[in-house]
Amino acid sequence: MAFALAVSSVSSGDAAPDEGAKFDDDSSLPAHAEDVVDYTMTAELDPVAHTVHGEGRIVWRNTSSKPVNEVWVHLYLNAFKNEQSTFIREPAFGSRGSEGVTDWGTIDVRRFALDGADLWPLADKTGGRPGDQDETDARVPLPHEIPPGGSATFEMTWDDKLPSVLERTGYYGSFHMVAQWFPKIARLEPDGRWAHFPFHHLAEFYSDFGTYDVTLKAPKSYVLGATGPVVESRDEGDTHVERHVQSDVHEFAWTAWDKFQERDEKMGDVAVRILYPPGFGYAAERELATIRFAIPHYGARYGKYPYRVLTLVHPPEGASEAGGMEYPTLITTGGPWYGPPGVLGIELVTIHEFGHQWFYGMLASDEVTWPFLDEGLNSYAEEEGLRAWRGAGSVVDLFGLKVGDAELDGAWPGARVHDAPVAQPAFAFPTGRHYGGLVYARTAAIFETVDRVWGRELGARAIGRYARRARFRHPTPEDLLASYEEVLGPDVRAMLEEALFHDGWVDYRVESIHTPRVTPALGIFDRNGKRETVKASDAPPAGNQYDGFVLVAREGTLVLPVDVEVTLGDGTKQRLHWDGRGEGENHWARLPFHGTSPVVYAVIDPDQAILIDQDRTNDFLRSGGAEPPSGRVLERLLYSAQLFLSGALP
Amino acid sequence: MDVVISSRGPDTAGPESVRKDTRLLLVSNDAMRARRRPLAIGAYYIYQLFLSFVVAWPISRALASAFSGHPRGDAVLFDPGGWALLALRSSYDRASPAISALLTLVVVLGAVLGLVPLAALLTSLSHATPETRAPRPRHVAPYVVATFRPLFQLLLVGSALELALSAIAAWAFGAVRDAAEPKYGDARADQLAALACFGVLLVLALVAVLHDLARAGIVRFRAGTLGAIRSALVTMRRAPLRVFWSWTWRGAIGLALVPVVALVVPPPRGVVALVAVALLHQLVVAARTALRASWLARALRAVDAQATRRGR
Repeated sequence: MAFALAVSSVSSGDAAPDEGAKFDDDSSLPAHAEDVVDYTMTAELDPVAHTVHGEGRIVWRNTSSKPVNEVWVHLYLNAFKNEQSTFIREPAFGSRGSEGVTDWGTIDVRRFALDGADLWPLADKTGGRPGDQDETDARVPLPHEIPPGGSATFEMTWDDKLPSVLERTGYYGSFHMVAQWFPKIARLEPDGRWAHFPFHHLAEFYSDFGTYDVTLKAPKSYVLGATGPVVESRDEGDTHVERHVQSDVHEFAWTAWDKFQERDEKMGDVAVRILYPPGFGYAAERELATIRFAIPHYGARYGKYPYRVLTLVHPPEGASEAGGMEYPTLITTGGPWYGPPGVLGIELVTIHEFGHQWFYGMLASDEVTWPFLDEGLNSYAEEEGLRAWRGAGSVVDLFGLKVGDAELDGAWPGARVHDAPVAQPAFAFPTGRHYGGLVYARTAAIFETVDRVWGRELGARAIGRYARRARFRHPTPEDLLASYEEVLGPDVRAMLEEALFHDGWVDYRVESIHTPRVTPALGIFDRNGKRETVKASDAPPAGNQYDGFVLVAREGTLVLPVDVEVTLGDGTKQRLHWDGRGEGENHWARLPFHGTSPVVYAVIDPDQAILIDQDRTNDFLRSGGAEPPSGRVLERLLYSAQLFLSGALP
Repeated sequence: MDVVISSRGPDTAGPESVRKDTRLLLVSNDAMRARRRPLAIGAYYIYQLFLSFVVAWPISRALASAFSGHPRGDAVLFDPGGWALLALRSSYDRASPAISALLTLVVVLGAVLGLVPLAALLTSLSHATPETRAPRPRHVAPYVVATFRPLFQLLLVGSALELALSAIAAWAFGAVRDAAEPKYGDARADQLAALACFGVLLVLALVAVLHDLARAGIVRFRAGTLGAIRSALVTMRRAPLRVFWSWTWRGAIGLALVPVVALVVPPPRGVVALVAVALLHQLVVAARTALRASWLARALRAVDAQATRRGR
């Protein structure tokens, strides 16, 4: 219930239905984000000491309705400083970053000055949380208020010690992924509330849009990759200097390695660059092929990709913790250098991270409070994209076995759907397995179910309207629900609210089949003033008409319309329909049947539209007749066992 | 009828327990051919089929019953997308310990009991009735009983060695990879590790070849375990490449048949296609069994030739 209240209280209030349709195509796409914070920085990497020395300037604007007398600064690298950090202390079974730090990392701010006065000595480095030694969320009091519409320019100097690669950032040998690496001002909400937080193990980030103008320095032998296009590149002695500038983004990450291989390709008007380890050319080609498909496909569904560049970084295997992550115009991938083309792990991680350019990048939702808005919707986009590209075998397509990403998403959460709601803050999930199963897979399965039940075209319009309207903004769940309500109606909105905020679940099943042959009624009848007794022996022979019903039931709190396919004794099939509701408080319905042959089989949801059906093994029932054929499984198992045993036996 | 009786075999009498009317004679070196003993190969194939059935039947019945309410039965397990397969995920989690236990039991018992059809096959390949016919089960039985003990001892020694080498191969892969990765990168390190691993696997293959040569020695000459191992080593030393190649090409063909057929054969639709695919799969298994028998015959010829040379 708490989260239902949260939904109604986080409305952005700009979802007027008559306005929505203009976002069904790209004609009304905003060209730019509101420029709230601009970072101009210089960073120099020492790849031997694994340190970065940084200097720079932040121009920050108060876009809220309240005056501000403090700023909150995130120092994410301190998550790896010691065992007292929130990140290390929080249990996160089944999540990345659980392997432990082998070399600690820190960020030390040397100077954080406003109008020439260093404010850092006065900063509360532990965020004012009593007894908490986490140093990832610092409060800096300001010497004077900054009024709404006013701005401030902060000068800063800092030093990073990168950790051994962990949770997306750090070094491995000479490979460096430099992410969450600079003092970053938290986002100020329109109501004047700072959206600040310590670095949680399961959570990601949230920040304001702006322009990043970053000059990177590294030894000349190093290949660099970073957010935004290169606007300047030169060598100064043994140092390579590269300047990257990118507007309309809210993060900047970079990488440096002296072993990177490199490929460039122009895809439409996007310059795509991939950096990968030696020997990974095959994997790199698969990643490029994925992006060739994804740029136009995602553009058509969620609005055109607005940036001129995209950099893919495939880290070495020992730095896999840096892989599978998204930054504006830069994504990290992962996977082995070999592998059968029918196992699509590389494609999956690539398209997933690319999708984050929308669901996180341009739709910059609060990833800490509403992780389903980025990871969940992006997982839905991933499975939709992979299916559109590779068909039913979008994860595995090997020797006739086809496993789909959507089907995996439907099965992955299992019984954990009852443990916690999908829509809740990242740090509130009990384990990484819950976070992964619910935020990623369950959200994807919910929205894929909407597509399958109410139609792909309407589903695409709803998510497309949300993605275009919320572009370069900070959308909330209400923005998403409003788009779905506008396109698909209040029932779908109610279903989504129940599924996302209240552990909503559903399990359809066929309870019984009763379709006997129609026979004359027996007994005593008063007809035409006479009393007649009809006995079985006197009754005329029964015809070939069958009457009865299929009893279907629904457990759980979600209501979705569903088809029921019946197979008759003569082999023909018929479709019945159930709106998913019973009469009154009942969760069952008798679907009437009349035909010339009895019902032998009934299958509820025969097209597997309802991916979130909790148990699919009770979706069908047989009424009499011979067992269906079962030879194929026996044949396959027997053959497999023969091959296995021929290797194991003398 | 075309079996040539050897007059030089070191042991033409057979086990002491054998009755006169079931006594077998050794066939000549050149006559030990798998193609002359199709029934014995068939018996070996049926034994493997039976064991495989023991594994496959209960699992397939459980799956069939889970989908007996669906008009397409357990064929839905092969539906594109894999919804039915994934619906069984929680059942699989619960059943996997039992399946693992069943497999372990079948492999261990199957390996021990498998010495019986193996000894029968080897006896059949290397012996004939006095009428120069292929031995019948009543002929073979006393020979199988007589050779079971040394074959079992050899199985223990060979399996221990093969398991140890497998562990060493796994360790070698990891160790070489870890050592090479910082200098050469992931791809090259994996390749070097695979090369190192391949080296150990070659030794493992060599042990498998020696194991079969020793088995041949036990059945052909009723050698003891140690004597058979010694004989296998000597045989191998005299013609290592020829013997190893004989094993390798047969093994390679047997191995290659599986992916080739899997790639060529489309998923069956309908009963006729299913029967056709099943027959094709059984042909693959039968071909692999025949290749194994062909190698065993070759092993018998190799140890016989070596013994003959020593006899001179």
